[in-house]
Amino acid sequence: MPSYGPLLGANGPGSWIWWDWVGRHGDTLYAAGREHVILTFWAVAIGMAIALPLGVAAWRWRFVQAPALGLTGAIYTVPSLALFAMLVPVTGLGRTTAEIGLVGYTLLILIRNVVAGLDGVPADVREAARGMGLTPLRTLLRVELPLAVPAIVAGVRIATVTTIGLVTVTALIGQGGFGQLIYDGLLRDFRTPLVLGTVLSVALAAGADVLLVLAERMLTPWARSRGRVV
Amino acid sequence: MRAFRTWAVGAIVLVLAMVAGACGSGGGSNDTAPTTTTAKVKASITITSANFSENEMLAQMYGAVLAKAGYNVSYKLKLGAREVIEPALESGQVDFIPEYAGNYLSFLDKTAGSLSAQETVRRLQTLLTAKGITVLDPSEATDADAIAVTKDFAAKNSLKTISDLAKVPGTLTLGGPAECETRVTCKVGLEQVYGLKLKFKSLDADGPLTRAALDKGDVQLARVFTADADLKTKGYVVLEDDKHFQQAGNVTPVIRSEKLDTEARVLINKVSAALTTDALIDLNKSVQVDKEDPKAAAEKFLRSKGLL
Amino acid sequence: MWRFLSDVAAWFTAAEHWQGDHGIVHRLAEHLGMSAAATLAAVAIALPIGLVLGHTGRAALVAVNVSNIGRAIPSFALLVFGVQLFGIGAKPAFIALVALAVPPIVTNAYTGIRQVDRDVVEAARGMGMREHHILLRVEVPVAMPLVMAGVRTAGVQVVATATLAAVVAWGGLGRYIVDGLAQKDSVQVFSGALLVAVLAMLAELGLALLQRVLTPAGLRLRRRGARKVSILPGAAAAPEVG
Repeated sequence: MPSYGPLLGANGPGSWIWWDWVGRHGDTLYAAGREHVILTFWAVAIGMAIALPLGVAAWRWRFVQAPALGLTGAIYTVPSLALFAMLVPVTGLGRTTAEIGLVGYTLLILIRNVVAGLDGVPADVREAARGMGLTPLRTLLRVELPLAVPAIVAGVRIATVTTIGLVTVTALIGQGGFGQLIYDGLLRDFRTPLVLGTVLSVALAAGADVLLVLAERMLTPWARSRGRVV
Repeated sequence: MRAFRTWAVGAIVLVLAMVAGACGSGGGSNDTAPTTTTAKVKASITITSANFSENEMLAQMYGAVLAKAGYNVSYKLKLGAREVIEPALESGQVDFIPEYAGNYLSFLDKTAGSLSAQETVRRLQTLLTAKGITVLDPSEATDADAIAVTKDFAAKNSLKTISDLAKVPGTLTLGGPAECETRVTCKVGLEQVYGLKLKFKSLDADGPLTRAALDKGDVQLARVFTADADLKTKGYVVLEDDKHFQQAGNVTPVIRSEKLDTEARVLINKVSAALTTDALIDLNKSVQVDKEDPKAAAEKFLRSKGLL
Repeated sequence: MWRFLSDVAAWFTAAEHWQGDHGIVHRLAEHLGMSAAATLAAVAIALPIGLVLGHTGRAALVAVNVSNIGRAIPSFALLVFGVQLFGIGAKPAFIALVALAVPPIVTNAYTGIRQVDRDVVEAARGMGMREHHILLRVEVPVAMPLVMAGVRTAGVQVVATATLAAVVAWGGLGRYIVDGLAQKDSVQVFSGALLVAVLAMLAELGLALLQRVLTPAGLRLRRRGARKVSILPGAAAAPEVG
């Protein structure tokens, strides 16, 4: 196997990239990409739906914070293969298993950033809102959460990029998106899908990250004038 | 706002229309006899395969023929070894597996021993009827498990048969897929039938990891498939199974009985009948060496036989 | 449920699961040895790069974003590439793990050094300190918490990913998971997963402790209040938060 072979230039079944194969597999690549995006989207969306209320609760009440961060931190520490493997006997080989695992990994990142974002709201801003007669709930919705948006989006960015990487592992339980290409590369000793799966997965992560940065700019128009350094 | 209202009214009307339509068609098919006999709905069949390329290719082959005949075919491929996909078949998560008769039987009945293909299939069906699974005709095409060594190793120790391994000094390491370690057709059988004492290294189902480990000397023995394309060209020596612990490797599709009608049975058996061991070896070469898609290779074969 | 748990308990208490080259002792040693070697090698490569870049302020864009890029490269793919390039065995796993561990260490070291008050650095320079002394005696101690956060992130990630190396025919604790999955032996899978999870958590705790020990006492006190969130376990490199 360790035939180093010509890195570039060569174009055949044994080369790192076989362009004919790429040309003939547009639909395979599209299907894999679609699955990758769907798995990632739902993982982050469901993760966010759980993390936002839980993060607010964890920030508000100290007694929620320790168990919330502790538990999600524990989940985060479980290696992905182990987590998926533990779920298979319970939820079977399918998308549900993959999604539960992927959601699990987003939680710590998201909750931590919600808490950090809310923590970062300057005390005087909070005081001012109260002084204007806003209720605690309104203060949260109108002042604190909007100010926490940059931190929360930073969390969504990390969660998204991490999830896109992790989706590839779910190829081992029959899902996987671009991970299927990587797994095929392993099973058939075939470099073209391996290279494509990897490159496309990284490109997807980069693309998603850029989109999220743009979304953040749109969500926080007040931050634009400050000339942020990314 | 007005635009939204218009949109909402439109959406509600649409939903109501769909609900009404669904009720109407449901009622129709239940209450009144269909006017034509051709409108029969064909079964949805989920096909799975083990995680090696030949099996995936076979799954695609049977699937293509069924799909062409109008069955609603979907795939869940490369899910894992028999230990993973067989329970999925039993529980109805999947409906169809291109199986191998002997190894399947020994999976269900560890004491079955080595039998003829026909006898294997007969026993299989006896065991599977209660589980709602039907065994279809075994193909003449055979891909059995075998134990291979490198040419050098065979020459150095003058090995021809598996029994010859007993005289090789030291503990030998067998490489194969993880499930080999617990199978009577693999490591367990080698130890019980041939009295060998082996170490084991988890690799893959006669894939690149097994080849690499054999070439590198990490393992001396490797579990391979007899229908492998480059077994000969790579210069491996398959040891003769002189005490017959290995099983009939005939490709034998199995399907959940409730998904099988006469037409599907005929179609599947036709494919099995067209398949030969030589064809299987050629197909494996296309997929493993020339890196053709399992699906494309399967379809090319079917077309050459006038089945697609 | 109870039956399953008692099966797991029985798995752990069976002597044959502890001995030999398939035993827990051997595989734990493999897993730890590989993880430690890969993390140390990554530190040796990444720390100088991150520190020097941080000190000179060069290549900011690369240094800050390299961990994001690293995060985006699937570790599973890295391992398969390792096999393609180096065959099977410990070597591809080691190289893939080092490649995985380098980015977060570079980014955190860079960010840590950049966060040091520039006035302090200028003052040190004014006092006639040499550049490498400024880096080692002024900047590094202040940057220590972030530097160590990067090492911690990398270390835990390496322990976790070493599990995946079982997919490409290496040993370690991941073997139980991969083999158990193939053999449909959920007791073995669960036991393996439990072992790996506990090991990853211990690695997290151990590295957090190391981080604390290496942080100068003055910094520890000052940061206590502010660090109540980020001290909790988790692999997200600190600079990305907020």
